[in-house]
Amino acid sequence: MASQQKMCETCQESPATVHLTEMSQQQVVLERHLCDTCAAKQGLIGKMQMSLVAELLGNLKDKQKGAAKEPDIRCPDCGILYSDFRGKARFGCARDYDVFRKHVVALLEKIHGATEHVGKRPKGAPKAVPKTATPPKAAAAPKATAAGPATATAAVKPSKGTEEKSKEVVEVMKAKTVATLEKELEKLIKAEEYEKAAKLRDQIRDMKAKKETKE
Amino acid sequence: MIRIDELAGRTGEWLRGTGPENDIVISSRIRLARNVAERPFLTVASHKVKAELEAQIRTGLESVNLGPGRLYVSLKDASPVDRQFLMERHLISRDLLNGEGDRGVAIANEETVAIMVNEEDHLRIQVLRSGLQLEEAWREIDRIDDEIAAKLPYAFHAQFGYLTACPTNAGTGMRISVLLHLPALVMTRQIDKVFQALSRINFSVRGLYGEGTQASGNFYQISNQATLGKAETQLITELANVVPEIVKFERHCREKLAKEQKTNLEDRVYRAAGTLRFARSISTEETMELLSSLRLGSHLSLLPDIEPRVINELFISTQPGHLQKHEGRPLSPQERDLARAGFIRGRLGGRV
Repeated sequence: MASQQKMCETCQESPATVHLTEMSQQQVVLERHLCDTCAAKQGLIGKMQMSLVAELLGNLKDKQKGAAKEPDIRCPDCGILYSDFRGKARFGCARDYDVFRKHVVALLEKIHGATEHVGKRPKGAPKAVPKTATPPKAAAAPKATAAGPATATAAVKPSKGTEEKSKEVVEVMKAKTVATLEKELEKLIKAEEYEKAAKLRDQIRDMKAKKETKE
Repeated sequence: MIRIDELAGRTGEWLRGTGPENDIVISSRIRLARNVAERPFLTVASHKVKAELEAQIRTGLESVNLGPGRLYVSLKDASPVDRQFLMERHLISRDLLNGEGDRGVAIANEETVAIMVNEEDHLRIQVLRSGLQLEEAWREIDRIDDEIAAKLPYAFHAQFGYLTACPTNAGTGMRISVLLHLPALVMTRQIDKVFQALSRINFSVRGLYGEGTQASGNFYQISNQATLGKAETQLITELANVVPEIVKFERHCREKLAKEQKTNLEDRVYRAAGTLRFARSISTEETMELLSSLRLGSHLSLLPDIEPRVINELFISTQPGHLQKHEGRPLSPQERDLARAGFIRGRLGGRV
């Protein structure tokens, strides 16, 4: 869609990749040709349809092949990766709740509609923390033992019931991601984090495709 | 300490059908998921760690008051028939039955208390009561949980509560299930309405043997979905408030059937009684269907000569594991169908 020769009308330095046609009562009022950076700076991308943004990022990604992978998180105690957790929907130890905290909070909110325990507490357990407090450490973070990272692969074979439950949870996670990642994508574009945005865009596309084939 | 074979000759308290609303509510169950602090979850535990955990938990449980008549069954050593038998009695889950490595179950107090060791979490504590007795079940399980916590410190988080292997159980770790017999709602095609209403208010509905099982015999288990963000007593109150509504609806439909479709209903009940009393070979599925009609007829006073308790027990004692335990040997499916028919004739007084 982009004409290679046309340069961004704002900076005159980069090729224009954003082409806007502003209309007023069926009449063309103004045609604009901008590069991604200037379009983002002027807040024009954020207002556009997500499909157009995704299209844009598709072009970008081709130019930036070999972009660095976002690092996975590994729990130092049980040795499982966040990607392992996502796949199985099972934690490896109590500390995972803090190691994957950001994801855990979002996930619990999705599953339970809440992120704070208000029920019984074992005697001598830490009291509930006010919401503004810094994230608490796990009351019982296991120390690295013989059962640490080395045995991470010796997972218990899940039975049928467990698998079904896992699927449900994984579905919940996916539902969460598609809904909120599009917002994150917009933020990344505004912040000019195009490498990350491109990756995210692909992720969203894959998820949507999977969802559609399922339905 | 008693042996597993002694369980076979009797029934658990929850099956007696004596609790409140027992014409419709079979049992009330509360389960707490717990993990021991400073130990890896079973998701990543090696065989060595599993063995250590089982030993540590068994020792810890020894000084906990679980009630009279204690029994510990190691699932690793148990025969396939014994495992099946325990699952049919709702004392272990299918996951524990199918699992591997060191794992077991502590059973006590006429099978009202069962603590699974090394299931998905280190401990799964269960208290089961007949009829609608959620508050009673909670008082008992709360006490047992406190006693265990004094021996085995739990993995607990100031914000997230009791930490479980699966995020769907975190917080209270509590699943409350009420087992209901709803034949009239099924016959009058009102059951879907009930399910839709329940799922809107975040309760899940499952079959007799839980997750992924069919609702055979018109039995349905209603459970809470969320375990985090509400206190245990509130979760119990919410379920305890909804059950009487379903009970009322089922009773209304039963009365309607008895009034408006009297002949149809009687025909169904007596045909079921006839088949069960005289059949020579019968499958589990057919047995469940017919026993469901028999149970309905019994509570509508159509079968004064059959005790409701006998019918309740037959739902469990005609399951494959129970039949094989009763016969004392493994049976092929064909042999089971013959043995089942014979067993039912014996219990229902089929004279031929």
